[in-house]
Amino acid sequence: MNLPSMSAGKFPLPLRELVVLSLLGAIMTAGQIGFAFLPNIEPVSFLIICCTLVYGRAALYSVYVFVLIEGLIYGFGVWWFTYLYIWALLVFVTLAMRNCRTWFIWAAISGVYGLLFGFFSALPYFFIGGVHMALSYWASGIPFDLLHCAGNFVSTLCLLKPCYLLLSRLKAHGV
Amino acid sequence: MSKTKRNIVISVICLIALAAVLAGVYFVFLDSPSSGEKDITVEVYHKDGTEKTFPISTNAEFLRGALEEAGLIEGTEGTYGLWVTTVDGYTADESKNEWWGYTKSGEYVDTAVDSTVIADGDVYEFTLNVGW
Repeated sequence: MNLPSMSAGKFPLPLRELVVLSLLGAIMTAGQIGFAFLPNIEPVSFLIICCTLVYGRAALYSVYVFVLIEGLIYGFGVWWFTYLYIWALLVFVTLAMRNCRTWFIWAAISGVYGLLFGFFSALPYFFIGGVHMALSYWASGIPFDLLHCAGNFVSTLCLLKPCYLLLSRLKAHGV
Repeated sequence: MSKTKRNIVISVICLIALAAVLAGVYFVFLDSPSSGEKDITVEVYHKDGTEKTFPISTNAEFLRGALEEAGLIEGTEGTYGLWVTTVDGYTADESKNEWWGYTKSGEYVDTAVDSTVIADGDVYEFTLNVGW
């Protein structure tokens, strides 16, 4: 049976690519859950960078599959609304730097993202309780941001290149 | 030095500098624990509307120590500190989306009981919440 080619229709992505991107979103979720026992250590950041380097802005599909599943698993609290913009931000930063192939620099970018994660997460609290609440929320989480930075730096440095090469080959073979 | 090496060095220096700035911010905002005896008050609001007040005298520096000394809380150890499951003998039923939250003089507290520094005269309210 021939699957409908959605690229020929109004939908902007081929169905096969849409499925792969959805699976990548599921892998991000599995990775997050697998590392949940470690505070703020997660493989999601490097996976998003990898996915964006290979699939461009279509990586947003994976990101929002991940965000939706996270909400379904853990509930749609304030943190979930921060996820709506915070992970997409990493996609846009990666798109802006997508010609860079120095893996060490990607590790540094991922580390900076981990460092600023708490700051961006604090934005809703600015609207809920003002500057004091937002700053207080951000500052109390800084030790976890430092851990996030270290985890992102190491995971991206070690895993981004092999995952990028693997995903690029799979894409080239039409998977 | 090649351009690539220079960019790597610059990016790592920026990362370390930013981490140092954040660590500095943390220590500026961090409440310092004080030694000596403190008198604090803990108010517990149960699901059925009953309210109990517990005056506690303690030498503990953090809220967890004071509450455990008073036998007021129990919980499970998590990666972010103690997850309080039981207050004043009532264990929140997670299957009903119940959870214990706490405030300080009615204000939101963004630290776990492990890292909340207490001071003489503090008032904390523990409330059983239903729904995430």
